[in-house]
Amino acid sequence: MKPPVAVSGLGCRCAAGDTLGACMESLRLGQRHPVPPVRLHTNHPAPFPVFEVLGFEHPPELLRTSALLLAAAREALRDAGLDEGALGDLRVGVCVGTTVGCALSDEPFCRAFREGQDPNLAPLERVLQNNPAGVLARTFGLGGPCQNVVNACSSGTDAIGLGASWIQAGLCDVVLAGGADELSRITLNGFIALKIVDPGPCRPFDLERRGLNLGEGAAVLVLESEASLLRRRGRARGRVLGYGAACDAHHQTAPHPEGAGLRRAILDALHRAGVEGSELAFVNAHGTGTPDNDRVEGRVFADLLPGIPFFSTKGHTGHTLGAAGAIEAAFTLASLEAGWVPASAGFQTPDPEIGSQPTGRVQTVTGRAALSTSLAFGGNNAAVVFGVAP
Amino acid sequence: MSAWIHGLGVVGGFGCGRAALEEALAQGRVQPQSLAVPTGQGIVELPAYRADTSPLERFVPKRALRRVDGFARMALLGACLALEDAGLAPAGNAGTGLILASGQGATGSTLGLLDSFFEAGDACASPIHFANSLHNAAAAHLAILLGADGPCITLSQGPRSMAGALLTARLWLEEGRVSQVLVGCVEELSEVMGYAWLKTHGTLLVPGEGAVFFLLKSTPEGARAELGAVELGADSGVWLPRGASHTQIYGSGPMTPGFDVAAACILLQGQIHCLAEEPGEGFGAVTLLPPL
Repeated sequence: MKPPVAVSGLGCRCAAGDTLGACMESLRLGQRHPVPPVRLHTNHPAPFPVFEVLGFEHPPELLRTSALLLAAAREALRDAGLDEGALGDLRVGVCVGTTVGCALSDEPFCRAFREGQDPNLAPLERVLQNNPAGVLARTFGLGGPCQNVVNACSSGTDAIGLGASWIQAGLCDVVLAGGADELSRITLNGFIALKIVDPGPCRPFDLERRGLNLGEGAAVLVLESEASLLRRRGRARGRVLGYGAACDAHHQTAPHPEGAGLRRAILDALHRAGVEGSELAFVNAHGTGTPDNDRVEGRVFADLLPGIPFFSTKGHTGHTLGAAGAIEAAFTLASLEAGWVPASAGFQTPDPEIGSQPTGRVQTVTGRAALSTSLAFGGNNAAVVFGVAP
Repeated sequence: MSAWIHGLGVVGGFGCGRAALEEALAQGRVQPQSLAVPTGQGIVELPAYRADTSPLERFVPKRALRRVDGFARMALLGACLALEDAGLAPAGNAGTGLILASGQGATGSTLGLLDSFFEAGDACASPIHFANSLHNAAAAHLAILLGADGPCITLSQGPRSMAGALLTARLWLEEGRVSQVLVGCVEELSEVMGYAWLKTHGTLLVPGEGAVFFLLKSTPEGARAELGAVELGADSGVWLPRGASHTQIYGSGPMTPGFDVAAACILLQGQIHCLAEEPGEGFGAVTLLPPL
């Protein structure tokens, strides 16, 4: 079994708050702000609410996705006590989950191309040169491995798992691992076409749930080797204890009805963590608010982890796609430290088909380990167990 | 722990399968095909190494391919050929891991999705094109059609994507997450990428598309090659001798590093290094060694 990997810094920027601390306060107070999109314009008969990061300015040469990531990374580095300018002295890798951040889908360019014009390539080059992981590596002058994980909605969790492997394999002293995604018209139209967007605020695990709300944001975890922590007298806020992943191999856009892949991912993560399910303080669920996801996920929890409190934070953040796993990882560690979990925003009425129900109010928790789960298009499932010191 | 290459599957402008690439390497040159690229001045025939995926019907029933786009078909054919090369069937691969790398993704389906709402409004976006436009859609098609239910991940980092995928495969084997893993890269010359190529390089440099897949195991018996060091970083320096690139066989562009590793695997008579480098961005280096 591989040793745990220290998490020495956390940063988060999303619709729930400009910092991780602000996000946790929003979660504690049950505040949420799904609103019609401000930056995006669609011609659907009625606007679908989204969780947008309002008032976020960034240099035009940067993709919004990469700028959000950079903001979260800077917060995480400050939290870790790592000086940006000194990172070049360490072997630092970057592993980032995203969807929009690697998509060559600039609308004005493609429209002009389709209209038979000769569009300038600058928009495509901007995407290629501004992939999120590359931006972090370039901005901070990092010399280690640099990787974007484009595994749809489990990307952020997978990036953390992969980054932890780099530390365990001795490839890096530090890995900036996380996820980032911005709201995109293309993604919004795509999810609406699949008929899994709630026209109102999302209601994860609720009997009346009708789908997800899209969101945007980023989170970064500073993963660090024990030797590096010791050398610079840093402190670990928590640890990645175990990561597991498995594919349903069942359907392109729907989860396996019995959650076959999710079960294997959770069991593998627990096994690698050396933690029994009954020892978990809580589960931070994927909980998108779509009928299929929540039914499958809730049933798996009822079966594998009976009695363990679980919740979804997507009622506060929206579904931030490639960022979701990273944002939820940051919330998981912060909740473990604080000893409380939020109410699952949007949940009111239990669904008898699920057989389990999320937290209905802020509640205290005990235990030193917690699980965060992600499910994704393509049948990907990822689970990561975090721990904090007793 | 070492990782061993047991199967190689390739499809590109040289044809389909290990033998086709081996023959092309022996001949030293393949005549490129072409891609019709729409421009403001009309259609331009861009010389290009194109991948023909019709041999896929040998492995997968045509009906099962109805919703599988061209990008995923190349990936699927490469993966099936790698399994066949390793003596395995293209079905029932429970526990097998999947790692797919692509710098550009399914640009054809992405443009198809955009077309659907350019033509008929946002409410008419195509759900099939949306699902296929996601970077990890091809890996999902592979997982479903090959019955591969181990961990599955899609990675993207320009021309270094293949090296990143091989590094991940090695880690998965070392960590005991899988006993075998299909790892490969795919790049598609869609109309829009053909246009981008034409604007950047003209018709002198010939681009290529295709797929390269390897079946990796942690055991050496029957292996075709050993996967040696895989390194990713900011600056390669001058320490690593570079292996040959055979662009007159499979073309230039983002797919070249993947084909370079495949060619090295075939030509292997000693230690070979393959290097993908983006000045100012970083490098990916793969070392291949002969089997025991």
